[in-house]
Amino acid sequence: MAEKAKIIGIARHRLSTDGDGVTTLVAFYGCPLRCKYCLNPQSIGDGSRFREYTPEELYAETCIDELYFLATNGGITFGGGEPCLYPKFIRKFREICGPSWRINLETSLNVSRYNINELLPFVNSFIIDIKDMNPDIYQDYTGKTNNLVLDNLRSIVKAGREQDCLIRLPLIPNFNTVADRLKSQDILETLGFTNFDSFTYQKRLH
Amino acid sequence: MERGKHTCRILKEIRRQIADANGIDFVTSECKYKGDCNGTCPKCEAEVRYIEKELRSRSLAGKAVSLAGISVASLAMFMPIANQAQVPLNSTDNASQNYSIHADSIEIDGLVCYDEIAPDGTCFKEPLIGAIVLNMRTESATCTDLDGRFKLNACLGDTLEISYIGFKTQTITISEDTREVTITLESDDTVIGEVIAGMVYAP
Repeated sequence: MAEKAKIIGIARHRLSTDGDGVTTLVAFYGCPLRCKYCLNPQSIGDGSRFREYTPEELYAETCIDELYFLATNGGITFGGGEPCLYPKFIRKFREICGPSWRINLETSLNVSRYNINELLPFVNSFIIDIKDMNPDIYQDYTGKTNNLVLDNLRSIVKAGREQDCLIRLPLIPNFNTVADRLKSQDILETLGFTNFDSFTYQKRLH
Repeated sequence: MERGKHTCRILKEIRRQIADANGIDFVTSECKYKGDCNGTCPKCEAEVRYIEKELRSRSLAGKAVSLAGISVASLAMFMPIANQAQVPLNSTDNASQNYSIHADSIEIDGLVCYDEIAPDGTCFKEPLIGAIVLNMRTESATCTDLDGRFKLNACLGDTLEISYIGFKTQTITISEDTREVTITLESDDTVIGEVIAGMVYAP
């Protein structure tokens, strides 16, 4: 039976958002985290209203922009929700779209190491929302530990893919400070990561 | 939706550069549309399909096709660029995140009907069979079934056009509140004239 996944949204024509090309954001339903300021809470709410796609159906809908992808080195950015919950789907999608499309993942990495190892060969880049490297801050903000995140960061380094990662370091109002964020960056630099994007979360309580 | 217009201009420039690199005649015009823009429209999409067709023709004729190396960043250098891992899918409260959403995963479940007057003068809704429902962005369409119902994929902000001969065409904009929608078409007396149905007898 074909792998299916619920998609909560498809946003076409993102310009220079994930790399230098035109990308389409495909947002999956489902996330292991419960972040206090989650901006897409529909990814963890009632999923019955969202359509399920097979990889073939998703390709049929997104290939409308193939001309732009090929001309600008763009492609698909899988987000969500948590795209790393769907390694089989993404692998199948890669088989269908071929090697010319870029595939980027916007992920928290808080999934099993198996999932990340499955995805590494098929994904061009990872945009990793690290939250905070301090386990207590992470637990407070997301409701989960960051043990898996650390495991997966090490897996990425072991695979020599750290240069394909952009680590997003948020300032999370009421949860961490600029000093916490610098500590996180230090730890990540020690691991071998060099590409960082510091920004501030928008507060959206729900 | 200035961001949509800006996206449109950049995509048009990408198309122009692809056409130039491959010797494709490409005549386009400045978009005069004043309404909401998602960055693309049926006219823009038609230009993409035209270029794809021309590229296929060249490829089949054994000509080299050049299709890489356009930098969006250089085209969009005056546009705010941000990485958006924490991206709201439907937020419009922040200009830098106010990009177009095409959540074609939303299935609109609708009923098209009209007001019928019963002999006792009471008004009731009667389903309209065979009404055409068109998504004006994707140009996908369907018609209502025997119960006046239809299902059509659309995204937030899309416009659906509902038409049926003898009734005024109506449009609705898709929002969170219109996933399930009932559309009542108004009778259009100006269109309904007397029609004489001729009959042809076989000799």
